[in-house]
Amino acid sequence: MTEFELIERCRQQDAKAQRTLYERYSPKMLGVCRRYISSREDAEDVLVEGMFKVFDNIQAFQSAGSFEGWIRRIIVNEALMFLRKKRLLTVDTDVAELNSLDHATPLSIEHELAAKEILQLLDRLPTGYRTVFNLFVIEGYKHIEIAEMLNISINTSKSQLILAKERMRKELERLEK
Amino acid sequence: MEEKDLFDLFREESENLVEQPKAETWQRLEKRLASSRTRRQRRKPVPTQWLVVAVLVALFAIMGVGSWFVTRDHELLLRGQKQFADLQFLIGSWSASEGGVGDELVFEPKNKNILRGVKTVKFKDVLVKRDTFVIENKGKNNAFLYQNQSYILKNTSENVFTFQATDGSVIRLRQSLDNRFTVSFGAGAVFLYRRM
Repeated sequence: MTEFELIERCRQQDAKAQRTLYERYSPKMLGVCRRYISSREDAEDVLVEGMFKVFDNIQAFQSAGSFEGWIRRIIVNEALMFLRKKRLLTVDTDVAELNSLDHATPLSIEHELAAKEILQLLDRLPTGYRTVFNLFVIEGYKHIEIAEMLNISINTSKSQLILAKERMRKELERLEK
Repeated sequence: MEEKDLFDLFREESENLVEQPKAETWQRLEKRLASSRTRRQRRKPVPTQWLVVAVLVALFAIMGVGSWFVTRDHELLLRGQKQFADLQFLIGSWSASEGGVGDELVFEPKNKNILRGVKTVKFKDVLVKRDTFVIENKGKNNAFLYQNQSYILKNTSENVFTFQATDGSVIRLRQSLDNRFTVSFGAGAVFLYRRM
């Protein structure tokens, strides 16, 4: 079944098509949830809520854009909502740590990282750092957009990213030893 | 090994970050979808075009009923006016006399809304009784006032005008074929008048 047919059938509330769509996208979307939420249980809760919204709002999807991108945006929003609800989205900036950093040095790595290792690295970051990191590096949002989404200032978004990078560097050093 | 920027590496590798959800995750979602489907079926949204049709039908119905009332009101008014005009024509052209012995019925000259009649009963040129009656144009209902009693014009057929009071008593004004004009008060008393 093509993606177009699948969407059309889901719009008609076809249970079989909904199952197919879920099977096609849920592993990737659970991966997205896991990048934001370290608990697997919570990530699956967010996946259920997000996918339900996907099916509930599928009429609103404009066929011109990427369907996967549309689902992803819903899932990311759902994850952010979860973090907000659980009050996990605290974005405290360690000013001392920030001042000690050399911002200009690019963070490079000598060995390849597996997806699992990426997840482990992300899991070690505080929620605020990880969220900004995910939104900036992986989803490709700009600082101004992140600031709006998380209700923080642009500078806070930038500093969170720098600190996230620094933590990553430390974690990578530990990993390489 | 070539050095890679961590951000690029994350970007590339995040695409491979897939995890298979537990089977029960789908079951939970399926349950929610099923209940949502039932809810949707229960409150099936009315398509917009049907809403437009419903509004138009309601509008036409209101306009129809309104126009029926206006028309009916107007028709009643016209009918009342026509009846009165007929009465004016009928009675006004009969400044009548001759009836029962010594009786006389005189209509006042035409008035726009009131026809007044005077009935006198004489015995050997002595006035023994004098009654007046008024037929008043009240638009929809022409009323005949006689002896402080109000008679409402109930119906007209040919040249007969029937007025009825609340107590059931009836007055009829009739133009006979033999050029006579008859006013019947009550059940028996009939006064006949002829054109002067």
